[in-house]
Amino acid sequence: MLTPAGRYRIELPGGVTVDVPGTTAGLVALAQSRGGDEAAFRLKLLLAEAQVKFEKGVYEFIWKPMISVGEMLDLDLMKAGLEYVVAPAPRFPHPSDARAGSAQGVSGVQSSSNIPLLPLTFQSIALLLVAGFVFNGPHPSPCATCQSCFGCRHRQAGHVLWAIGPSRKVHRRR
Amino acid sequence: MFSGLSAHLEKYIADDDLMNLILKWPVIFIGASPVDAAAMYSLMTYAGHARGTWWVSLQWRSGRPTV
Repeated sequence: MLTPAGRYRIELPGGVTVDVPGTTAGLVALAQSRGGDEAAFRLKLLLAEAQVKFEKGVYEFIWKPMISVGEMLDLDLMKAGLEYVVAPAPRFPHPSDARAGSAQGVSGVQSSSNIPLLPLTFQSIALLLVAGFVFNGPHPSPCATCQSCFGCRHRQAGHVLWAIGPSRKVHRRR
Repeated sequence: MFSGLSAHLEKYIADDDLMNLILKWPVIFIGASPVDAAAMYSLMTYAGHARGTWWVSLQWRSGRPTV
């Protein structure tokens, strides 16, 4: 039987133990107690970015069989991977932005745009986008068979859409 | 996205060794090195906290543990 743990304990060298909260709220509170609002904000941003990876990776990516290199270059997956990296500020405002109010953008007010970006060049992004489109194409239009489940992005139990390319569509019932 | 997990975490939490260790812990737990593991593995950290940390409770029946 699986039992939810409210916390877990890490033993560090020297006999030091740390009780770690097993929930996001507890972990954010721990970060806030150690580093203030800035640390809590950065942790929440990290977890938000990881959430996108988790949901895209677990609910969509692993449902696709590994039968071609082209499907690895999926525009949707690529967009999800870069969602919180390219421009986190619009969807994840820094707490000091709200406090600053009209002073937002004034020098000294920290915002999420201060989070360092990954060293991606525009050339590499463009190359990946073009390669993904050529190999995989855009997502195929839903046909009558999968019309009902396409909108929920393949999450409906028992129905998996294999999107291999723009002209090949295979539907299987699990 | 294309870096190691350690480098990825340091972009967010660089000055707190304990929090850094806590966030690396799920990857260490599955036997991977945070330096070598891809940044994608931060989803393990997310899953461990946002989706809950679970443990298997054992019961002793007839002299042996059962799940």
